[in-house]
Amino acid sequence: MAQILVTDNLTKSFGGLVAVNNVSIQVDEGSITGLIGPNGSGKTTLFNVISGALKADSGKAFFNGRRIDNLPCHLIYKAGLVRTFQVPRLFQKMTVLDNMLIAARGLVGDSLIGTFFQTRAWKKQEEELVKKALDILEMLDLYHQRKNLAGNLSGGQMKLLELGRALMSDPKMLLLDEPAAGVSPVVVDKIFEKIVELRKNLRLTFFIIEHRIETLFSYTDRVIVMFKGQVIAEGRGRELVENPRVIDVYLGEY
Amino acid sequence: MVNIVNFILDMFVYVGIFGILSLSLNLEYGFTGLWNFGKVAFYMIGAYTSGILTTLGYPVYVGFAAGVVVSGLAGLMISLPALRLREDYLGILTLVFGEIIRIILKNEYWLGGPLGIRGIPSITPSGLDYTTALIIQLIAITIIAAICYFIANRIIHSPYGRVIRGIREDELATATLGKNTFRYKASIFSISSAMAGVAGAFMGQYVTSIAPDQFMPFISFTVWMMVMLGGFANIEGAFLGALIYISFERGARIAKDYLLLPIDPNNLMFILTGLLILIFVFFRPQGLLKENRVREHKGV
Amino acid sequence: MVDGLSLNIAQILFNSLLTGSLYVLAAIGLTLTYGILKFPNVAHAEFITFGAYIAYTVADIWKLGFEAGVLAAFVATGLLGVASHLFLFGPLIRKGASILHLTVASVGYGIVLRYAMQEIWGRKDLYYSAYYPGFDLGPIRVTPLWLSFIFLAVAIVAVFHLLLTKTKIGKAMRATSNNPSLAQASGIDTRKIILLVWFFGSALAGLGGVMKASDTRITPVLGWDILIMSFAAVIFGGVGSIYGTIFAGYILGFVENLGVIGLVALKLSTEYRFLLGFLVLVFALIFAPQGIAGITFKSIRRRLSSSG
Repeated sequence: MAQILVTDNLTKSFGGLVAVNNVSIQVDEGSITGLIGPNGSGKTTLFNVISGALKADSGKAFFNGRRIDNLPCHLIYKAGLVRTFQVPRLFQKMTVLDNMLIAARGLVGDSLIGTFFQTRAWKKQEEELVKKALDILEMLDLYHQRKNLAGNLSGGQMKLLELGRALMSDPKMLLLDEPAAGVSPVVVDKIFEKIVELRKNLRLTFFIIEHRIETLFSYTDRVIVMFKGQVIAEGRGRELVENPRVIDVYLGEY
Repeated sequence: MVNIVNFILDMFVYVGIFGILSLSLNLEYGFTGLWNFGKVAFYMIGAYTSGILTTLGYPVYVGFAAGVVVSGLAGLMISLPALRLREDYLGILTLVFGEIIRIILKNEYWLGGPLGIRGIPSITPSGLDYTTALIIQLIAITIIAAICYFIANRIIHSPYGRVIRGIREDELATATLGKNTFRYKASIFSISSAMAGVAGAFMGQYVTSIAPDQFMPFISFTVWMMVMLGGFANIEGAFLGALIYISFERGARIAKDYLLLPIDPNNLMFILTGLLILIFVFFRPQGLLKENRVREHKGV
Repeated sequence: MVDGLSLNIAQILFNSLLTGSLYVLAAIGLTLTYGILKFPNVAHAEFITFGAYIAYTVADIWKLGFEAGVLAAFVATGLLGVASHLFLFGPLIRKGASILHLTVASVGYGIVLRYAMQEIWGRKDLYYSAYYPGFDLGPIRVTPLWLSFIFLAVAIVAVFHLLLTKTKIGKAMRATSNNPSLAQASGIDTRKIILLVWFFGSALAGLGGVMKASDTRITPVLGWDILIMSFAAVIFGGVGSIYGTIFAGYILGFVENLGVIGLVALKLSTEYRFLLGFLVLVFALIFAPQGIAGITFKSIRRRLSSSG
């Protein structure tokens, strides 16, 4: 199977602290891959570096064969690699629908010139995007909230909206940072079932940071384990449970 | 009687000019979150560009067009270093930029020096009765203001407008959603600067002589006060704020002639203006009008 | 000019010391309030002006002498600063005002102060009656007033240094300046510290006003002329860092005075000497926003931590 995301010795430090330490990983296309590790092991920093929010100190990253570690985050997004945030960064004062619309790619109206001289084109495009957004909202059971301000949603709904927003750009791969954190167990299953559905229907690749080991192990194909900035193990969930290093790291934590 | 009519016409011309300035600041701060404390710089550049060209013999519309273009380019040029700064630093940088331009204009005699540019030709032919000339000026500024209003309106109700509001609320999230936020900030800054430029160009031909010391930072502050009065992120509010401020100022000026006060009315007016701002900051910080509501999408 | 170059340099250094001292006095208060309360106080310009006018009233209207005027400027401006926080900025902060609103409030406040002062003292230029004739100290031309002010500024810097490093209050001030919420969480009475900061910072600004006015004249825009250079010292030195501001203030004084020579040589207007300071500010904003303090102290710290 093709590897859609490859990193090669990525390193990122903050002052004296090495948050990501020579991390080399590969994620298979079409897979649901998990990323686990105790707090502070560098998982979110790794996501930040891959998605372009932070620049790596050294090392490389490739997405679909194309080098991305030197690209600004908006270009990485346009390449099809989209990430969500652990604490949803929604536009609280905009409606749910507007939050969806702003995430769309390739808008005619994105420039001032387009806004003034291609009015008919972007108005037509808006209609199409509205339809697409409403479809996604419907799929995530958020249709009835479409006119509500994003700030008024419940925690679980916000997480779903984060996911929906990520889907607006027709991504090829999603980096989900704790997509089900702080959400009731029923909603957790709902979110992960949606993820499995999306993988099947849209052939998306998912790379997911999660803390709930059982959830992760039941929904993922493969899991990568990080500790103190380094990858210490990877493999199928069932095998990792018996891996002494992994047990060490988690027992040490507890 | 004629005096009152002229007084009011003149007042509304200024409401038009400063309404455009407030509109341009509102686009930058109200909608995009950019702290521009140097609005006077682009006002000045527009006034000088048009003033110099027209006194050299070029027709007024060339002067205006050049004023717009040069101010817009100046805005673009400043964007490059400035828009990466955090907000308060951007404010200080724009403030300093205005002062740098003013000092240069004051000391370079080929640009007019401390006495500035005089004899700027106006759009009204000479020999016209004063009131008629005022009416023509008022019509002209209203047309220009209407164009600016139309531009601002189109911007905020478009996908582009959605992105700049996203930048205002959370720039990193907007960038993470694939928008080159710098490009957006730079383009809104340029078009706002161009608007300020046309206001300056118009003002130059209206008062027919301009000098560097007419363009102090106080003017930038005045525009901020107008934006705050009218309401942030409200394009009608920009004109409302200008109207309130200027009426207040003019009213105080009249009071000088009719009231006997123990305090110099000029000073009193400014003191009251400052107090008005403080009152607004305390009790109505978002301004009088609320943010413009974006048009709903069809069939939603 | 006798002796050409050597006379030049000594005088330039002396003038730099003088100008630098002025900027330091004006900027310390600004950097402290900017660092702790996080907004640029535009009304600081009026504090500078206020000091100059108070000194005039005490020295020349009440005829109590220039020294009394200086002291009065110190105390009165300090109290003005405290009042500003008690009645304006403090309440606004408690109401949750944003940095922008605090800045706009300081603009409005500055306008009220300036025109109130104009109402009380008029718009015309005023001059202190105190006259101290200049004399030659070796190769440099000085006046007792200049010497006193430099001495005063240096003494204040020294006192501040001792205050900040040796006393409990000083350390509390540094902690609050570095990280206000952490300081409060560790039990420091930040409210008292903030009022002290407003007092001393504004008082020094008032002194700066007297200093500048005694050199030129008292006008309503006295403070404004210095304000941008004060911001230059604050940002170039590193917002919130007293040492950085002091260092930056003297560098700016030097740049300005050396710059005059350069400008004359290049046959440009000497008014451009202020531009030099502005350009330093622009440079600092764009390339070194954390200021001297951020660069030097951080790199020193890093070198210490990596070897440790």
